[in-house]
Amino acid sequence: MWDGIIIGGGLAGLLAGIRAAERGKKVLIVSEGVGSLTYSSGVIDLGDAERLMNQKSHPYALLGERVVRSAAEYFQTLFPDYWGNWREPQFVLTPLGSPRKAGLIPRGLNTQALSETHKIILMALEGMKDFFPEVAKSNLLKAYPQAEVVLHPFRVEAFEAWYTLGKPITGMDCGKYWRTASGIETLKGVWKSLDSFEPDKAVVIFPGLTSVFSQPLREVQSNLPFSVIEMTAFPPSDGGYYLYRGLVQKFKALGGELLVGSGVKKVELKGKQCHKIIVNSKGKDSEFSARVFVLATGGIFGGGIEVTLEAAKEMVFGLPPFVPSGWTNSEFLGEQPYARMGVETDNQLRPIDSASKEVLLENVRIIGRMLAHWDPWVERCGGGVSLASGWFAGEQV
Amino acid sequence: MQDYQVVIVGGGATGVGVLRDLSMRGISALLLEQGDLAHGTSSRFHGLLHSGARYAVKDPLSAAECISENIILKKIAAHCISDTGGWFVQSEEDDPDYVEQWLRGCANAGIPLREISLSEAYWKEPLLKRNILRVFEVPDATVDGFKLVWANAKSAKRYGGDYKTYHRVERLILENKRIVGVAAKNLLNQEELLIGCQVVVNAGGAWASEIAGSIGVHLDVICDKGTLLAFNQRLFQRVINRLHPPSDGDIFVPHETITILGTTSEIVGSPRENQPKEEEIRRLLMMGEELLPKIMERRVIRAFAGVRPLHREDSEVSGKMDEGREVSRNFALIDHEIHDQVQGLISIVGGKFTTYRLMAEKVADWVAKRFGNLRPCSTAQEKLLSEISEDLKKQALQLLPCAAAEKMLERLGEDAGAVLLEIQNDPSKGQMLCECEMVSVAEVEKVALDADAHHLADIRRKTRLGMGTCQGAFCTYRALPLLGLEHAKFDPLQDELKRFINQRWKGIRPILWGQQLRETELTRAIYTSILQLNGIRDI
Amino acid sequence: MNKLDSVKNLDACIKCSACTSQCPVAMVQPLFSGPKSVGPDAERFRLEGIDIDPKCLSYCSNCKTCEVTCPSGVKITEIILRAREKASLAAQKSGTTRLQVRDLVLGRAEYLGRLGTIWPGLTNGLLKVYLVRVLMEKILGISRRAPLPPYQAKFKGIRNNKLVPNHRLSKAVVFFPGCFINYNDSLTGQAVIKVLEHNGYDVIMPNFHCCGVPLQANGKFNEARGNAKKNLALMNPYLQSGVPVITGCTSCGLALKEEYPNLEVSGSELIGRQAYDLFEFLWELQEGGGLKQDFQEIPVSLGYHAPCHLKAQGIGTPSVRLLRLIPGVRVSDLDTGCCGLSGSYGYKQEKYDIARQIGEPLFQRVQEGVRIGEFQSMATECGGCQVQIEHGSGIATKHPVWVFMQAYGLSPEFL
Repeated sequence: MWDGIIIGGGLAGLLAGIRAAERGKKVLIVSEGVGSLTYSSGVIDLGDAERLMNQKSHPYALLGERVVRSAAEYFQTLFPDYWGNWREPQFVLTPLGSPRKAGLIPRGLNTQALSETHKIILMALEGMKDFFPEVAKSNLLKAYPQAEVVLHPFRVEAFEAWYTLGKPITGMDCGKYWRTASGIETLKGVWKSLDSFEPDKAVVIFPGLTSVFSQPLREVQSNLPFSVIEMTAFPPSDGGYYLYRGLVQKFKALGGELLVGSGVKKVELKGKQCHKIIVNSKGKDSEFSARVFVLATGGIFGGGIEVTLEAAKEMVFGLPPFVPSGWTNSEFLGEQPYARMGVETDNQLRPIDSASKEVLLENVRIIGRMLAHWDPWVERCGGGVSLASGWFAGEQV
Repeated sequence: MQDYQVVIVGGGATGVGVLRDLSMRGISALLLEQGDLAHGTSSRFHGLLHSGARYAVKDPLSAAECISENIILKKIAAHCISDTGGWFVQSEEDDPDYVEQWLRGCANAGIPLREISLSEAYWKEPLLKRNILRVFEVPDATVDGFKLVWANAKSAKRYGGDYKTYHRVERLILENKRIVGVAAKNLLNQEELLIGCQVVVNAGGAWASEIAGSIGVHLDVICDKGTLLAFNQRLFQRVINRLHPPSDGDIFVPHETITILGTTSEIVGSPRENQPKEEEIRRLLMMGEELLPKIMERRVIRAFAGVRPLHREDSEVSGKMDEGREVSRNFALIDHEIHDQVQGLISIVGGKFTTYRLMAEKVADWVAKRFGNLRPCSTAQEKLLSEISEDLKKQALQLLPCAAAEKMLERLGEDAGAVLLEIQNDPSKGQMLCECEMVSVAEVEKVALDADAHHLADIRRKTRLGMGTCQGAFCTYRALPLLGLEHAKFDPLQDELKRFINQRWKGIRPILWGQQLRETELTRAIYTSILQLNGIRDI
Repeated sequence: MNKLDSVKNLDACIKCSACTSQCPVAMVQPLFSGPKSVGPDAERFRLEGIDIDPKCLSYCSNCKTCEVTCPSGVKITEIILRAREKASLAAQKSGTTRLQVRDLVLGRAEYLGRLGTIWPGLTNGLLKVYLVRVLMEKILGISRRAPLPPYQAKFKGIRNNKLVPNHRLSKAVVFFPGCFINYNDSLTGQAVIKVLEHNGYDVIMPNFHCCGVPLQANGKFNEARGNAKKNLALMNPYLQSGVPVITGCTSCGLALKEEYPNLEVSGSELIGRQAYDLFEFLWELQEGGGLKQDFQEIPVSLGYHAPCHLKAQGIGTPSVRLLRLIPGVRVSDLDTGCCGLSGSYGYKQEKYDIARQIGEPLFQRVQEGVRIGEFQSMATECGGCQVQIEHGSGIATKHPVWVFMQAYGLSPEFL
């Protein structure tokens, strides 16, 4: 018997697990895959929190300012590598080299120095997949017109075979390489090679380098006479991946168990209580019982809600999702009504019936992308809602 | 301004077919197309090269034309055609009397067929529904509309033929009821141009009546919208038809890596009404289930619609006018001197993709006669593309994954040499820009630099970039730096990107459920969150 | 997987590349374009009849990290394995002889094992002789640097093939030891039996053959199926009486649960449901209140490595849960990826370095953990992982069942 079982191991689920485990609870997380964090850039988007807190039915409004703030602060105490606060946006560079707003960011991504410098050196590891130095350069020139942008292409011997074969070096390959012992040595050489560029007067942008959660990398950088700015990456991104690793390690160190690669097939209910989940293991099912269950299956993208031509279905408990009346708009990058689909809850995050507002399951909490009435892409609050609802659920286990 | 003997209006299969035929006969001709070649009906169909069997009962003349063109095209355009063969499948619901009629029709039209045992049928097509009674094999095949149209255009060019894309014909110019030229507009820079000519071939397809209308000539073209669905993978290995009177949703056509289910039929007011509708999609799926069980669980990556131009006057078949399928698909050549006392204007309407060459031959015969040109048509004998050398094949297989190599050779023919040289010099150019359809960076670059490529969508049509499973989620981003290669040619990046994404979205919106909805969420995450292209700042 | 399921499986891929980004091989082997590329991407072309070079497929080590990672539940390794089977049939005529002999030897862990255990002392001596290893590399393509495990006297169980009367079958289990226990680590086999018997179970051990995983990994698909059928026939009477089959090896366990149910013979409908990893079984006892709790305190701290094929079973890490029940035991779940060996993969001459590179982060983590005093030694269920971790890090690595045996105050009988 577990104190809490969390279904879904993305940002919301892991944070809920960590919070609960930290409170001394025995927690199991069951996750179909590695969650969506590797598609994210590893920065936490909080969105325009003040506006969203006043937007009817939005998860921020449901949870209230205290929860949103506490969750963000809690995340930062877990990961002091993350900068920012829940009210003031930070700026980071997109993979295209243009600045964009974000809530909490790994230190290395902070772009502040770019606004003040007159010279930007853009490092470009040859053969890197999904990074386009020329495009990034032209966007940097647009965003920081006071600065000159120097492109600095370079090769790394470790990837010689990649160059010969024309195999792309993925951002993830880069991120992992710079963390190895030989990668760190190479990096020191790369910094040396910049000497002739008078780097002390410049700011250096280094795509593919992710120093978050790496003590040795941060040490190398702190000894440099210039500032180094990292970029967010095109997915799958190492920034997102290392955040995922960081969360998993924290969770395991607190005694939590993570079961990745299997989905929940069925649940057993008694009245308005769930007492058991049945996991689709190889060969036969595995059963796990708990006092509290947290549903963090990632909405449509995570597979928590399946939509057919006929209907939308919540896949674990069979809860009736809220389905918006409109479905799509012609402008792809604009508002898309379907995205606000999700499970409606009371302010304890327990699922409710849309019409009667009656609580459907007493010991189940709905978190993250499973919640209704929000859209992480137009509201840019994906990280914030996941943290706030995850933290809140972790308190409830 | 250069003058031509002939101006052809419309860059679909018929138009380029006429251009090739005239050019081979030594008649100077210019083709004007308002968009990209093959952007209209010639690419918005199921890609079926008919054996004629589908028309064997209702339209024997069409059936006979189809089988003879089928044989010709397999010879002259082998690289655009996959000779999959096709089956006609009689299920329990289908009328056995019709089968007998159909067998007689096929025999009369000279369509070879062979009955397949049910055990062989299920073994070869394991997904086929298990309630079938009889299966017949006919020489149906699949044809790539983009490739065939471009191959015609390139062949014509070798004979001195000219074409201009993104040029819209604004009006035809008459002097004493006699064609002397056309006024056209370059839609990329809005420049007007006047072109002198003695003959105009109106091959505008569904737009033909608008073109004729510019000089007050009435031309009756029925716009018959057909909606189709593209499935994520190859579900069948050959064309599967239902053995019953032609109807909605009764043909599956395996097309390279995907399968197309077609089609619906609905009379619409204008060729612009080509947005697939939800009820059409439901109908297609319902009908398709008769051949493919559990069709709802199969991933649809896209819906699209084409507007077939049907001609009314030649229709020998009585029937309701609001039911497009009752109008014959046979084509008509209209000499407007006879009908409307306008000299030098000929319209070609109706017909099918399979018979495009025959239609072009008839038009060219008419034009040649007018100019006193006695050279016979040779489009049925000469291959569209020269054979690819074994050396080139070998080189391609050394430098690219097998699938990518084969596909590139099919698309580019001998032009592939330049792409391979690029990759040899810089192996990173051999990376897949489009991973779903395996299109290399070097190939996309080459096509982007083509004088004919003006938009990302033009590159897509020539390469299949963005036409696979992800529908552009990843490759749109990867195509961005290519657009920067020639600053003057493409629109600013953000406009081009949004246009392309919205075009892809148009085909995804109507089928937004299941895995394609998940894919859409991933795409939105990439472009709105990670790249923030919906934001305040330009890229 | 039938045709309908395989269509659905391929449809689920949204091309996100999460699999490739986590693939331990693609990261270190420039010739391998990754599971997405040779799996679901190439599959759409294979359906069109365009096959890819079988060499590209052979770099897959069958560790199944991609399957565990995939957020869409796509059976990527299975797609790759099926494609390999198809390609190997096509290439059988043109393959090079040397590698064929090697695949034959490594694929037959059982065959190799039998040879070794006839005169274990002699074989082990030979395996340590540099010249012999050089010859093996030259002739068989087995890397001279790879950690071939020493052979021991064949494990015969404690009371081999004992008959359990029908009325006692409800408290009996069948033990499927696997080749590693059989030929290289019979003491662990004894430990498993001791622990099960301590909990009141009769342990039945028919004379099983190799489960088939190494054969499959080396392209011997038909032989793998042949072995599986023989094993199923041996299990079948017990399966029919509802007796669970317990494995101590996670790869054998995965095969029993994932591959055996696909065979069209009697017992295949039961084996998936009745096959248990040892600790999965013990955890079920624990949940039902049936696990003996007479643990003595064992002051030990362990680093734990979850084998890839345990992760692929989707049962979590029951050994960690159980170890934490023993007073004095501290466990750190390292969660640092794959050890690289993947059965016979890391023994191949051209793949030894890849295997070593794959395991490097894990070896470093192990060494670091010991250095800072986080733990003293390592535990993992898989024999291959044990050998590779010891080889790579120099830290002693054992099956977790040893801790249980000790905690129960039992000891193995040295035969």
